[in-house]
Amino acid sequence: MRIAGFFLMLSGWIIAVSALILLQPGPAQVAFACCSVAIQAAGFASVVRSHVVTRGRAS
Amino acid sequence: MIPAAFPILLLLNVPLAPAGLVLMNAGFARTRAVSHLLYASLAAIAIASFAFFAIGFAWQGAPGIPGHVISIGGSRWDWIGSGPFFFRGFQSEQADATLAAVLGLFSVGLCAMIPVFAGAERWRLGPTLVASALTGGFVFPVFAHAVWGGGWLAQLGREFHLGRGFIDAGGSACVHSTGALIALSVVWVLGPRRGKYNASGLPSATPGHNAAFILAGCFFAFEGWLALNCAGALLFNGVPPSGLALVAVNSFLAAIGGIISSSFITRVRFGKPDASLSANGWIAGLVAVSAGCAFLKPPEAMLVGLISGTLVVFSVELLELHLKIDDPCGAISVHGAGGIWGVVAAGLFLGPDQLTAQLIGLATLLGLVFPVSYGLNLLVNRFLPYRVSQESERQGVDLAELGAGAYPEFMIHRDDFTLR
Repeated sequence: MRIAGFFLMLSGWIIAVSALILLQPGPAQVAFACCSVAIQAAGFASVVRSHVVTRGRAS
Repeated sequence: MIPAAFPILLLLNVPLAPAGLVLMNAGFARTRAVSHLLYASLAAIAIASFAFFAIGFAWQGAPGIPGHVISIGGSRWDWIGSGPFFFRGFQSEQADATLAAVLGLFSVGLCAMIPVFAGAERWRLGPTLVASALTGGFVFPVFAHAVWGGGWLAQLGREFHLGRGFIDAGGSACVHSTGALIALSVVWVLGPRRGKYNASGLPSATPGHNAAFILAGCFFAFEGWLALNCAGALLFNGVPPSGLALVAVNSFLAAIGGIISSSFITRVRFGKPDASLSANGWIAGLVAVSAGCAFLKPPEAMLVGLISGTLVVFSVELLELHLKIDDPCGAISVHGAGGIWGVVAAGLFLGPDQLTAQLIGLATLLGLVFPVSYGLNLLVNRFLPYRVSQESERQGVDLAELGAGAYPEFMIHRDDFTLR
């Protein structure tokens, strides 16, 4: 889950950079940038969740 | 070109920001770990600054100094600096580049100190120094090049018509969010302090040892922050000296916004304002406004501060209670939540194109800086274990790692109980 989360975060960055190259400034580009950060938030949540679960098992 | 005498006076006040933060966070530590925290902070500044001097500034570069460029889709991507190592390109006649080097040198220590605060009371000194060297020599300069060194994020305005490009005058992203993401990695590697969570996973309260330190640190930090934001706006955002009054007003308004909202919320929730959370709210306001301080209007800066103070209170609780992240000083909440909110806020108030630029910068932080720093910390921990031994933690890291406590007269010796 942790590695998947980090991959999601990396994917979000690649989407943001792709939007920068492929789209003109405007609503579509803003939407793509917002989606990329949302994907990263999902990845971050996975990483956090994996640590909470690991910590729970350890204690 | 900016006349060098004026900004150098500003820059000379920047070290007050780390001084204030260290004092404040020393207050959050328990008596048996105060010396260790102060010494580790000083050592982190020294090692990170040395790494920055040796390698980091060459990779960070400065506006006007050409970096390594790749071309994608007809656009130039300046991704890393190409200067000589050991400050050999440091020439006093290149005023802007020289001043950027000085600001980088002062800021890298600030960035490296944030993980020290988060790992307080359980992070060994050796690994602290290695992690600080990696921050100063690699993680900070590579991202700072993109933002402060005239790299691809700073050029989003010119190359992709996105507002002013990614703006971060005082380092909401470069210094604070980067430091907080490294701190989060460190805390995950370290785990919580022994006794922090009971068998059912509930945290125990471990109040700081000196509220006076915590509150006094806010005053010093504020002075340093004014200088940092003004110098950053002057060097990286092209603000003329006449525009610095706005930077100072915005910084102050955000700080008071942060302390007002955090004091109000803690008063409503706990019956009395919480001094330590309010102090964190003050700093969070300063952290958040650092990104857009040169361009926000004063009411917007006030709102940025009010929201950052609110965020800090809830973030501290979320991290400690629900996510089991033991951050004794609240550094991840103050610098991370405050910094990320500041980056986004600058975009929200300055239009959709600016918002896109800010989100791309944030995506770079989360998608590149965070995984890299997490991986580096895991790697270092494999060769140099981060955590002190159980006995050292019980005894206190002051005695275990430094051989003396901060308050030797508080220690109880067997002699104190003999008849005289």
